[in-house]
Amino acid sequence: MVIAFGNIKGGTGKSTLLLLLASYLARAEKKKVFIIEMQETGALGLLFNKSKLLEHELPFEYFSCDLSRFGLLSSRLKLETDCDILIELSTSIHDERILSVFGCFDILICPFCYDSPTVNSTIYFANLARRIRPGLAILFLPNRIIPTAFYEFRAEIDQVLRQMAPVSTAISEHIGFQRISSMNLPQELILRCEATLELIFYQYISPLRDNNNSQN
Amino acid sequence: MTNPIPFIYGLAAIYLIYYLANLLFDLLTLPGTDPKGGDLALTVSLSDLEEPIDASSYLDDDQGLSQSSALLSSGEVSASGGVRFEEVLSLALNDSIFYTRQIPV
Repeated sequence: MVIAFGNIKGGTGKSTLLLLLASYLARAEKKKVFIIEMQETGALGLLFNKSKLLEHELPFEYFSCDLSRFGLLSSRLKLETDCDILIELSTSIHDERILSVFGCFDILICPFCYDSPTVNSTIYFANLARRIRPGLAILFLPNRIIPTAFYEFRAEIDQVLRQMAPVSTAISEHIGFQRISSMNLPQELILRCEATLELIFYQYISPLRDNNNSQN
Repeated sequence: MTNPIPFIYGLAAIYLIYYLANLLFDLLTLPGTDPKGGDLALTVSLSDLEEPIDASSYLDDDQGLSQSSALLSSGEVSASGGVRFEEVLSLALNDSIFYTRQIPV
């Protein structure tokens, strides 16, 4: 199964959430997981280099790839059986070759926050994805939500987003997110987010996987 | 010491007989026919050359030339379906305006 994380607005937590989901899939679901980063000089690359220096034993494999080599890498990894491929899309979408990338994943997860610029970017990105590939499964994932804070128009924003795709349970802000310095995530952070990730997995990802398996 | 002249004459005579036998064999067989019955003559009609040559008629067995569909495939569809990419971006922007205007400011 191929899961993409994307948003044209940077800083929405794509890399962190992708790492959390990759760790969850590898640990809880016992899946072989591959991570593809399409962002040049992205956060994942820096974290991977740190992990490499510290010789961490990661539960997944990491690849950095630009648009010109994506087709080759994707087709190679799809030969692997019973694996999950997680892709972090680039924030830059003004390249026609992005069309082939949109054709290869099963679900697009759009992390977002409730500030106005991020919401507008998220809506634009989701509409672009729907224009490129009508019928694509999209999931809006509210991120960095402070439980005690009041978000103006949150209900209205959720209502608008739900006209396009489901909005999942929110990921709460935690100081642990600021302390991630390598791909080896702190155990307490994984455990803290595990319940939410499990809910997202069984509610949105697992049904798609079952559907794909029945079609094959 | 023996004289080599009679030996050379003998060799020349044997070769001459062999040569004449070959010549007679070629002359006695009908010109342009294969001893096995096939026609070896290459006849080219000028009128045929004026017609376009249909290459498919020369490929009686094209099994060796066939390739699997995977090799001939152009891969997954990666086009925008007749719409320019800039137009796709523009359409997405219009769609997003439809949704964002519903959010109170």
